[in-house]
Amino acid sequence: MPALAQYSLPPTRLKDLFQRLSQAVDQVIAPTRVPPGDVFYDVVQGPDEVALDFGNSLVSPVAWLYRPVEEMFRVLPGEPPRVEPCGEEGRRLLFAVRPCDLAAIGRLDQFFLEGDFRDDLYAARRARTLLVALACATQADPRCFCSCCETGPYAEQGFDLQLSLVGDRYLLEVGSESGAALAEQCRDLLEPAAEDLAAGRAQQVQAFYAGLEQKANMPAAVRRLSSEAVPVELWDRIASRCLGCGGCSFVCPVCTCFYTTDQVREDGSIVRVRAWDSCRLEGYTREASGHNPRAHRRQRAERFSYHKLAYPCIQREGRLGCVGCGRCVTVCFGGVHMPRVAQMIRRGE
Amino acid sequence: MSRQFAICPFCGCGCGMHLEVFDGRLIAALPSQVHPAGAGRLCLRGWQAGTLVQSSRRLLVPQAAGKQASWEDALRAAAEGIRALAAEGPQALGVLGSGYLTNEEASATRLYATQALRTPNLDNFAWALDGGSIWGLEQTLCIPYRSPVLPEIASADVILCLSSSLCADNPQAAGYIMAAAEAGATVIVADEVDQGLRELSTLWVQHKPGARAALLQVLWSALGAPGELSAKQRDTLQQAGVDAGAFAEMCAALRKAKRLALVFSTTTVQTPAEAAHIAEIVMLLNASGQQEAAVFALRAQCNSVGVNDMGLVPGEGRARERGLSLYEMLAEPTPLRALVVIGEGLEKFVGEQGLQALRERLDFLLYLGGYQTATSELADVALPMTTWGETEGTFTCHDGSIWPLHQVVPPTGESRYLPEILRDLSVAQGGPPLPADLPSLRAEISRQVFGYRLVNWEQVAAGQRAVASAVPSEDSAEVQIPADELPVPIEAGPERPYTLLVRRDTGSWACDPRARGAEIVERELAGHRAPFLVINPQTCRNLETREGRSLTISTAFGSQTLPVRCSPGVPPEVVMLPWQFRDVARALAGPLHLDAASRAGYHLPVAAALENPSQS
Repeated sequence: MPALAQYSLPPTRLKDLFQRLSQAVDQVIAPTRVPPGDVFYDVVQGPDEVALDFGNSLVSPVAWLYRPVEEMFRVLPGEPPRVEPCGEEGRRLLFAVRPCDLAAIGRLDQFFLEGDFRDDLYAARRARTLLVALACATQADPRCFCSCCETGPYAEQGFDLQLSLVGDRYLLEVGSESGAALAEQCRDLLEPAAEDLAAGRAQQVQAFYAGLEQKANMPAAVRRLSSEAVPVELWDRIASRCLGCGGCSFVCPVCTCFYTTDQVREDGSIVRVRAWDSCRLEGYTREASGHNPRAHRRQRAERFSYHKLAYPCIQREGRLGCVGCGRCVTVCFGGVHMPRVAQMIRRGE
Repeated sequence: MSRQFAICPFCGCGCGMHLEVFDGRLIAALPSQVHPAGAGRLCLRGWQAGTLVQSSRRLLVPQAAGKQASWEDALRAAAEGIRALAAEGPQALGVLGSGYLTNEEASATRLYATQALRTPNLDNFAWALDGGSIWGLEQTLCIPYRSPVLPEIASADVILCLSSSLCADNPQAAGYIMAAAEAGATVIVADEVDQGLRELSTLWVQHKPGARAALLQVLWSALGAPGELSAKQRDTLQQAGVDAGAFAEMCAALRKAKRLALVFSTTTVQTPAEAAHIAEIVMLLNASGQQEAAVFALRAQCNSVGVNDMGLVPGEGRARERGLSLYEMLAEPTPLRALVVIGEGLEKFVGEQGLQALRERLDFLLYLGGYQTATSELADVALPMTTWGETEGTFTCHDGSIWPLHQVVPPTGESRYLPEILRDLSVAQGGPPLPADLPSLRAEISRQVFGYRLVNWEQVAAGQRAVASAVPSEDSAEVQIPADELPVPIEAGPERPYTLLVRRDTGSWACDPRARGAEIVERELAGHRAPFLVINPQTCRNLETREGRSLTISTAFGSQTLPVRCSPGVPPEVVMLPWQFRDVARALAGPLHLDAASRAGYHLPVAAALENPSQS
């Protein structure tokens, strides 16, 4: 989808832009470096706290929309007991979101908002969140493979505003009506985008593709997986290297597995809590009878890959179940992360 | 929302993580990419560490005589109980502290034992788990043992791993082994059973139960004197059940190694003799000047190093006569009248039945901990203490690096900071007011613990790297190694054709009450609650049973009927029992074998018979 408008921004005005955007919301979530040096998307108070010199954070900013642990509702003691909803939060701006994570948010929107069930917690949070993307053309992380999933280095949709450093200037693209309103508030900081910016953007994309270290031929893996041409032994080999930590699911910005539990609090209230879970874990699909349709690690590995890559899932959900963020490359003990699995499937090895 | 760096509170890997706090509650633990141990990876326990503080198994209020009590009443009851028995002399009292305590808490525990109770009977749970092998390394290397940082495993060109269980027991180390293999390293796995790592190895060297020390001694002598093995060595290998071809390949790989990593979990390699041979191999290879060899002993508890450095050790040192070790305190009959248990339940070592029996032998049992355990239920007084995430402090990791822990949430229930409890307890007993605040405790550590004198605690708290130099031990005792090491004799015969092997590295963390409070971990461990045997599928077929059904196992010590699980990694003549089922292990394998020098304990393999009860 073409941008609604494009502007140019001198880097010297980036902090001013940030300040101006901050005024439009109650809270800004941006990448920030925390001791001993990790980058997390956290609430920041000013532009000096923002870190833009990073590849990608290990925890996706998606965690601000679909929380690792969140209270769903609370039952207050009394006669009769009273049910109180949870989750009231102010307007937020997610700043410097990478295009792969934007693609993941698109996928979560489908899952939580457009299916048979609508998730009110996610919907409320999503409706109050503005998204400012930061393209990756100049900063590919060695683990990234977004080009293989067609999610980067630039976002083509899903953002309100998108920033990208092209040469010595930022290109600011407007992707939504909300983004246009934001841009209007910053109009005095912006300049019209010259044609050379667009040309520079295109050149950057080519250079970015050439420089990617992780490469995964996803279409070939999708074809092979969907035609059921994958040897069974391959899943055994993957399973032997999977140590069952669940980390791939926990860092995957597209994964939506969760469990719910009821917690009794000190004030006597009962809170239903939802927390991230993983279909890579044995107990996730264990039924009350004790029967488990995916009792073996190889079955879970197969199911996970199928959900990410198989054509029926893509057809149903309109896109790959992997956005190429490369986080699984970092967390997997055994190196059986998504680009490797795609390669193994493609080669049938 | 706030975020704070921390070290994982489980095993000795010391993985870095960030604790996420929202609305005053600890909600998540997320990995640190820049921390050297984990580099962004956490095992399942680590990922779920964020749920520990709000666990449903927390001990929330003081208990006295099995009932809820006020702090004042509970402290008075504890002080009276101990004071009454202190009159019988310090030898009647004992103190045990967990390897999960911070350095400051461990220091306060030592002060309480030595200054308030004046007892030499002091030990820590971590040593009971990994003391045997650490002792063997330290006494052979003649220096206090510090492990290199774990990522260095990945840079080895040859890895000899003696724990096939690492995939489940220590995924971080297994991950670095897999990374090394990917980079072309030769990975040799030598073990008595295969618990998963064999499939990822280049060479698998199987030996009989109880034959590890013999194998390592022959390996050492073969590396030291290249050429044909002597008849005696060949005979030893045969008795150890080691394939001669695999042994020759292993020797060749080790001789060619430029950087050798010798990796084992202290829950697998438990005897000083085994560890001494490992140290000898490393010294031999390093002495050539052409090779670099390093030992990576993977410890069982997060502050295993720190609690020993802080002096949670018996009397004047382990080699001296004065002061009882953990296993000696728990032995039957115990010489103790009163026992103070801090940070963990005793059932982990003696089982629930064993704990009941111990409780009957003791006149007074005091428990200080953050979680409800069988020990807290049986204690005369149970006092709730703050835990990881609720206290400031430090851990000393396997490489000697000191890392800060911060309080991120307020204390749960009525729990209090351990040093403050111990100070009040000491005063209530008529003892001195012990230091209870961080600056005083750290000053005490700097004064008393040699390797920590130069530590700048303010820099540590700010997250700057600091390393405690190794704490020299005053102990000195030679590891007793037979000149010709032979496999542990197992009196197998037609009546008892199988060997029962009690393994400590088979889901041992399932018995950690902290892990059991985390919903996902609780769910994933559902299969590890009740005792079970692991046998070869062929054994299962021979006995005309199948997985999930029960077999009766009999040894010279007793008999039990237990459900079985099948694993092709267990040889047909071996039956494996996880160590954490303490009551069953004691009933079948007898009392622990106690090593006189290291004062560590372990089970020796024993001959066993299997019978299908439905056929008898």
